[in-house]
Amino acid sequence: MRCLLLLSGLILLSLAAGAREVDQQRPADHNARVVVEIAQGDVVIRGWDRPVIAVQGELDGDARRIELSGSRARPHLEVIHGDPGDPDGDADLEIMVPAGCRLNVVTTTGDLWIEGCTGAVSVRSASGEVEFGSAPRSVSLDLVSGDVYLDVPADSVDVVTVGGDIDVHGVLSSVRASTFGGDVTITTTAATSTLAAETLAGDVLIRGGVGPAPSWTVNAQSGDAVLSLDGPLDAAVSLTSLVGDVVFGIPGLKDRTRTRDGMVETLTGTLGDGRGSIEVQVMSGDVVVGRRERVE
Amino acid sequence: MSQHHDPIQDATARLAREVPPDRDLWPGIAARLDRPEASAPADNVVRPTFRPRQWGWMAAAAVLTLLVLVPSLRQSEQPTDVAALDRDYATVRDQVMTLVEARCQQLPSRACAPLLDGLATLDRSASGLSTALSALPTDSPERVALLARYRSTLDRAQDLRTRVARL
Repeated sequence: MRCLLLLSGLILLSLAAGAREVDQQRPADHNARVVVEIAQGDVVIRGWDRPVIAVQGELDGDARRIELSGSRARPHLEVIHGDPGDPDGDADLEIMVPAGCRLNVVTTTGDLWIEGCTGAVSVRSASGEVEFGSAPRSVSLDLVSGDVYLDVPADSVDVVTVGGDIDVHGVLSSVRASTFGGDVTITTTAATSTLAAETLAGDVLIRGGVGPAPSWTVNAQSGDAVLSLDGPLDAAVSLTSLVGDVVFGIPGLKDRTRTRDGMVETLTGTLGDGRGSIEVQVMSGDVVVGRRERVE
Repeated sequence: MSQHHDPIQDATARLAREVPPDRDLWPGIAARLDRPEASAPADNVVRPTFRPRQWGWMAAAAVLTLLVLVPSLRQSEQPTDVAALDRDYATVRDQVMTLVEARCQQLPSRACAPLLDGLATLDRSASGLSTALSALPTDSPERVALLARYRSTLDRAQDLRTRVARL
């Protein structure tokens, strides 16, 4: 009861402060390519089983109105501001989209929560948290700030951020994670064939399964790279560190060769038939690769 | 129900808490330059060695490689020396800074600060690589890897410029 009163109070307060309510909808194909552009505000996007895009919520400041346009195949939702070059007003919205649509969200600042979307989801954001309540088919995040934590079993994940840590769990097939400054942590499944992890300043920690004929590359300029691997391994291995040690703890590495050329230490060899490749390069830090132990 | 025990990760986590990693590249290289042979690996170390009669083949291969590579290097316009990379990085960095200053007047501070942090990370990377490359002899084997990283840092700076411009 107190919560209801508080919520009602907040709504009345925001309406008194000039907030405007919005409630619009438009038909859209189940597999539409949906574009959502929002400068500022917190947004929830949910997938549903209706061929409709619906938006409800509040606008304030110079956030004037919602423009819902485009065709059924390519609907477009945009918050229109009084001064598009310098928007000064929030749009706090709940948006329903066809669950199987391809969703493309562009936002400058604000938190974003996405759930129930099963198609490909891409997000470009300058600041704010991006979270998923359920797994889309693929996730592409292009962020400027903030840490990234993804715990959804998406088939493929592509995360690029300028600043912050990246922590991705449950990737099925392929993953790319790149940050300028921050740690990268990836937990894969047994079928992860393509992996690329890169940081300029931070550690890279990879745990989990390696797919058949993998193509894995790890680059850490100033930081350690630690790979704890699971499953059958079938790859040519190349591990390099300029200033640091290279430690390889998996038995059965064929043609094992360790070279030291100046400061550059490289360990190469072959696991299984060497059908894929695992390459790790670290400038200032250690490379540690071992077998992940499963305890029943 | 199975669970995972990860001894390497455990050890690394402990190490990370006890000894915070140095995020700058140059101090590590400088320390290693002071003791280049200090930590030789224990197993199967193969140091590149050259026998006299290999030199003839190597010279021929080098000439052939130069004949093939020099035209393509010119075409790709990739900076190959430290001064050129320093110059290119400074140019891109100034462009990024100009864009950041303009955008930060409109963006909230929580969006602006990471841009400056990202630029600072790139600056440290470029500075460390430039210092290391300047300190190393021109024929040192580390140069190839360091030059590649410097070019990668330059690529990142160009990427940041693109990102800031479209904010």
